Amino acid sequence: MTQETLLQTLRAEFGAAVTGPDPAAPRRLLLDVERARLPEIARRLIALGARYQVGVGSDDRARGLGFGLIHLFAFDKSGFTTAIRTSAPAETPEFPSITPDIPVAGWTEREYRDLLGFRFPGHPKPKKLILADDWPDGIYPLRKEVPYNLVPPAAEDVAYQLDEAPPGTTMVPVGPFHSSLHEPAHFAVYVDGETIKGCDYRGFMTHRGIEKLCQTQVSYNEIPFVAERICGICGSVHATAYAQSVEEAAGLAVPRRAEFIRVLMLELERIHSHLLWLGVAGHLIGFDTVFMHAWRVREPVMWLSERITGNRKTYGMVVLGGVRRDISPETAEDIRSVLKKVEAEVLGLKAAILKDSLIHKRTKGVGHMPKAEAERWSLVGPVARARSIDIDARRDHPYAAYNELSFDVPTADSCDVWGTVLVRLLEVFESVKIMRQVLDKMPAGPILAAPQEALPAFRHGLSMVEAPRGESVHYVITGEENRPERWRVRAPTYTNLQGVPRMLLDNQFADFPIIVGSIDPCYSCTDRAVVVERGTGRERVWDRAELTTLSRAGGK
Amino acid sequence: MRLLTPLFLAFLILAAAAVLSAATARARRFSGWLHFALAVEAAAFLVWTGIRAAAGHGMEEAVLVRLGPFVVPFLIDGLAGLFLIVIGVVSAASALYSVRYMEYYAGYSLRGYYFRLPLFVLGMAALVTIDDLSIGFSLAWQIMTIASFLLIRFETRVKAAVRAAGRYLLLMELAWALIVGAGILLGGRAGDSLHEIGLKAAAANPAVLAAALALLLLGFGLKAGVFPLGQLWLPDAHSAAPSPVSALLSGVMLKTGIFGLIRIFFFLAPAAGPGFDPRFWGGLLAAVGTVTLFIGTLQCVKQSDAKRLLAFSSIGQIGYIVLGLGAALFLSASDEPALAGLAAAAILGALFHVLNHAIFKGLLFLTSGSLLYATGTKDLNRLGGLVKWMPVSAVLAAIASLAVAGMPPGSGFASKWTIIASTLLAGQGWVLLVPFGIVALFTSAVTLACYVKFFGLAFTASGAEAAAAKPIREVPGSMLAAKIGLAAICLAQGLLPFLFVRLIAGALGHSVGFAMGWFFESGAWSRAVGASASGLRIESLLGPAAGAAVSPLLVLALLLLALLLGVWLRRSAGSRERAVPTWLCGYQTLNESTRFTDRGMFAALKNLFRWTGGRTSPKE
Amino acid sequence: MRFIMPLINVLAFLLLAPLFEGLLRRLTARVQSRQGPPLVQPYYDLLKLLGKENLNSAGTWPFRLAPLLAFASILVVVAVIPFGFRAGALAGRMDGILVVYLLTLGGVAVLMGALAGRNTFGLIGASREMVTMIMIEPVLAMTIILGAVKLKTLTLVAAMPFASGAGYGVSTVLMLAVYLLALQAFAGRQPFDIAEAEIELLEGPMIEYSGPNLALFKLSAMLKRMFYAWLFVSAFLPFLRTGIYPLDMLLQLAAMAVVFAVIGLVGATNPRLRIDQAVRYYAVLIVWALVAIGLAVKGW
Repeated sequence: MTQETLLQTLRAEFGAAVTGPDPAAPRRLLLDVERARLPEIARRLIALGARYQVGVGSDDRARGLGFGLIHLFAFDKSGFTTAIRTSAPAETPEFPSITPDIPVAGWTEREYRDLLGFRFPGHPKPKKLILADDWPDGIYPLRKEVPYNLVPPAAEDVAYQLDEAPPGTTMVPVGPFHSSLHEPAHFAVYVDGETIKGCDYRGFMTHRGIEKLCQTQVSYNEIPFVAERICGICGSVHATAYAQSVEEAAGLAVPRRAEFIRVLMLELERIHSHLLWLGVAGHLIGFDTVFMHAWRVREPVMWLSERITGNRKTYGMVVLGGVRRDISPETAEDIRSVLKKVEAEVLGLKAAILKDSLIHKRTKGVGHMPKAEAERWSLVGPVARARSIDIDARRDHPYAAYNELSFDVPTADSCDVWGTVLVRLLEVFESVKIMRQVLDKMPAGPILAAPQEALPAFRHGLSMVEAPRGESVHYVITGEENRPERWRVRAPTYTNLQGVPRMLLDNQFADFPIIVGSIDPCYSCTDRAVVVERGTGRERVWDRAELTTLSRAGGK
Repeated sequence: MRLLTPLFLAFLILAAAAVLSAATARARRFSGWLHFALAVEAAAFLVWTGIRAAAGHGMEEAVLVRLGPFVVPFLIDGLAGLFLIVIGVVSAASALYSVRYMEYYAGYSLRGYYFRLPLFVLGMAALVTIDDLSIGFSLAWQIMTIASFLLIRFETRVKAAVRAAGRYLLLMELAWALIVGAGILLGGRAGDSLHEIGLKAAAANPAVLAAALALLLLGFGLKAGVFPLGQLWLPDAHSAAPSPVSALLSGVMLKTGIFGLIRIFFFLAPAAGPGFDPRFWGGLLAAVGTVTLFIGTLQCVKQSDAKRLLAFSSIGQIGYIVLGLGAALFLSASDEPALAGLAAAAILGALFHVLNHAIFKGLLFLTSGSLLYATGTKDLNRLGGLVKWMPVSAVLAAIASLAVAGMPPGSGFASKWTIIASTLLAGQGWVLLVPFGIVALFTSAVTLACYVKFFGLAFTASGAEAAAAKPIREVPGSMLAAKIGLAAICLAQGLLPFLFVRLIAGALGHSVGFAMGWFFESGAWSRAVGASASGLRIESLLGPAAGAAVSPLLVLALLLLALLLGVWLRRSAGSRERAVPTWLCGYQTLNESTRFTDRGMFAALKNLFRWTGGRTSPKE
Repeated sequence: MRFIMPLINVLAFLLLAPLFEGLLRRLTARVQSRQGPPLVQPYYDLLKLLGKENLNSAGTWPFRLAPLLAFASILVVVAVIPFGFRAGALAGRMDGILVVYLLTLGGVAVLMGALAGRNTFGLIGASREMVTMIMIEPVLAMTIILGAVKLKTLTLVAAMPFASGAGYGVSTVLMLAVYLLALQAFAGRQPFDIAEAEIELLEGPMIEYSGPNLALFKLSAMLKRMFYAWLFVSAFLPFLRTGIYPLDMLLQLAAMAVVFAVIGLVGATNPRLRIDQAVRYYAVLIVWALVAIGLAVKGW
């Protein structure tokens, strides 16, 4: 399928209901569709093999365009995406719901219900998703007239209505403070005995309002650093994805060397993230020795990052038009030697894990979700690849320097937690391979494009970056005041988390941690959207010396 | 001979109680008290008769009594005495408990209830004192069966109760037919005492004897509730009846089946001489007992209805008794003094468990009645936290639960210990007795699970306030008094087991025609089983040390000392207590939906033993 | 002397149980390439807990009684056992069945506390704890019964069969293997620390306990672990006997340290199993233990 054939098919079937494409969006098909026929068209796209990614809602009333909603669909086999745009008048922000057909669109629609005040007739679960339980009705924080720092009064005794429990079950309230969750979120797990019969999720407890902040307060060049702070683990992914989407929208050319360096950082991040996950997974099945050793192996990667960028994490490398630091030949050598050591150690870990029959017992058949279901829920990343869905944005929608690099995309067909372990372990070796190629093939040259005066407004840019947990999608509509008009971030967890209740079904409660853990959830990524923090008053800043003293006291 | 007078007096008083309290049933509470006054008097006569008989003042042989057109042999010996004591004690407690408890059934007339209850007791008392398998037996059996049948279907508007009662009646009539048929098969005629039937059986063909014994085992097994016969009627019937009746059904009536088994296999059959193989029948009984205790208890753990749980647990506990009887019968055939000693220990244990089970199970059924009375439900999924409102009931329930679970120094511990120890030590008598003992030990842990959840989910945990229609209050004083009386006996049985073991040994020494009688009469038993204030011992007469020994009082003393040390430790650093809400991860609070209910308890165990079956609701 | 022995037992166990715990932690840390806490850390932990507040979410007596009962029952067990191959004054009045029941009573206390604490996680933990107890108790019982079968006595000398003159046969070797396979469950360590399962159940039955109550529970668990190590040493390692009482005690303690090392090593190299997987494992152990008993009855 090519963009042309798709366009022909849609025009033939829907006629005037589909208009476009917008020529300013070269790597994707940006089509305008008639609002009433949205579900039909979405259904057709899925039938044609598309994978639903996310929706982008926007408040375009200032431009007299009412409210806008763009649904993104990826054609992974054909290497392009399709965006279908529709709009609703300012007075009646109502869009037909596509969730009955595409369950994974559920959160997108609920998100805009909360943030923009959209209504989605036909939505099966029109409940709060993002806003706090006590957030007053009628205030939609992503609308332009709502100030970014609005703090509505807190209310007592406002409870979120969780899903009705399946008959004969007890709810086990997991979180927000629970040792299997490393960030706050709430799972209401309905168990019959210890068998999970259902699950409702109430998350988004630590929203920082990053999208709103960046659309109103900061400028294009500052955003990469904010974007990097969306996630504590895959920050570089978000910085790169943001930068790429703006670069695409504005037609900004990036020097090739910078693209290679971006790949280098992304893959370094993948190695450390996968090792971190492996450790956490060990911990989640009560195997702390795996935890300790995985993190011991990971540590040199962190030190390497510190030597390259000055930071163990949150590298601050990516800026619009390139990267901030170059890789010197000595650093390159350093990287090679660390890679060699890590590769050897991970080989050892892999051998130990493959041999451990109890690990198999705790992961095989656990969190089973067949391929068809996984596709229905649009799973991404290792979670999808463990269910033999062969997708990887690096290969399918190449960005940065990936088109010059050769690597395999490991998949597994066990459709369970074990598959995700296997896929992630193998991906570490692929990352090592990629990084070695980067060091070999990286051309000389500048690492930053020449600065540009002003970026054109109201252009659309889309970037997909394969984060360790799956594809991150950033969508930017450029704006006028040197900042985006709209910036939408969709972390992989946003998609995968929606499939978790299905994965949990009929498993044992003891497997809850590892099943949730198997998607490598990143709540902070998911919680990026708009919520205003309540002021906590003064903060104490610990300096490095104090922290060192604290952390080493008693331990020499 | 002299004992017939108090027995018949008791019968008369019971008959009077039936007529008088039924006549005044319109004044509900008055008739209750009237019934109690007469019932306790009858009970006193029964207990007095029983104690006299057990203490050696009983009859030396069956006495023929003319009842209208029939001549019926009565035999009040030591064994009958023991059962009379049980009947007396539990029926008195049940009568006292009924007075206020029956308020719960405001929509039902009590006329029938107070008419049948004394007759039920009368039937049971007659059954254990009449010594034949024909006319007298049939009279007593029918009175007992029909009275209890009508009591079970007391709640005539509840379909399940009516059906359960119907099935009960059918099966009890079947059991009657089996038993009477066996008597005829053995050549017994109207008026023949068991001993005489035994002597006739000696002349019978061994195959006929075996067939008759099998019929008797089936008949009395049906009554006692052994697997798989008990499952047919017992759980439904026991949970359908009003709680004081359940206490009698489970605490006493099942024991009439045990009584029958003892009379058959230790009195009648041995008289038949070499045609009767105690090893075969003992082994069979032990195996049946082991299967019964294992299956019954595993079915018990699956129950959520408090009374069904207690009913299934009764099957399990009957299993222990039958195991003890079987082991005793098997080992009694041995010439080796060590094994004969273990046989004595086993039958002492079995009969001790009869006494213990009557008391603690009676107490437990009265407790389930209190749950129903106070909250209107006996569903463990909906109960919880009652210790706050019903502190006395909670303590009494804890005592009974510990006792039935066999926790030292509860009463169940002493008797189960005796049964299990004697089977474990009897390995060279019969290899299989050791695994039987191990299964019994394993099963007592399962029993524990049943009662952890019974007590834990009813009295601790949380949630009853949501289920109760009205504010929950402690049950009235008279109900408590009935339970306190039973609890006191229960404690005594646990802490001073030697009193009861000696009582039983004395009774067995004065039981007419008892196969192991000489052992108890001569005092030889005390060389095998040591029973004194310092505890129980089973002498092994083989190894270097005593076979087994346990001292409940010492255990209690040590536990108390250690508890004191714990209290001191807890206070040693001046720590204070602070009340906090239950912590549920910070987003939700403890409520109906987050409450973990009985349904989910022990899921892994229930799944592993799914094959043992056990309906969790009455058959519709 | 025989009358002081129970006291010696109690003191030795109370004083040394935290040290063995420290050993366990230290060893686990080493396997995990960590430094690990000092050996005496468990003492500090207990002292710290004793000084903290007792939080009570139930407000009922079963909640307060539970930690005391757990502590008392294991302490009575410790007092009566023939530690150092010498039967004290209490050993003749108690027997193996009682010890099994007392250990169960300790478990019951934990359950009672969990149920009284009313916490959902606590109740799930209690459910798992009870199931584990039911499935693992037979193995403990059969270890003692093996001695009882050999010696024809259930008194506590059955816990040291070979020191009392019984032979070491096939059945013993089989039971030893079964005991080792059950050791982690006895000790409540990976792969069988299922009831506490801190990752999903947040310490399960203990969740509502804090301060001195928690200290009592923790101390009871340490004592229990030490008892299981002792039972192994006493029942299966008869050659550690010299006949000199203090020396025998020291030898047994040294061997117990080795048992703890095994617990630590196995615990550190295994993930936690699920309760449904564990019960099947226990069921197999029970069958093998029964085989061992059968062999012993036949005189093997």
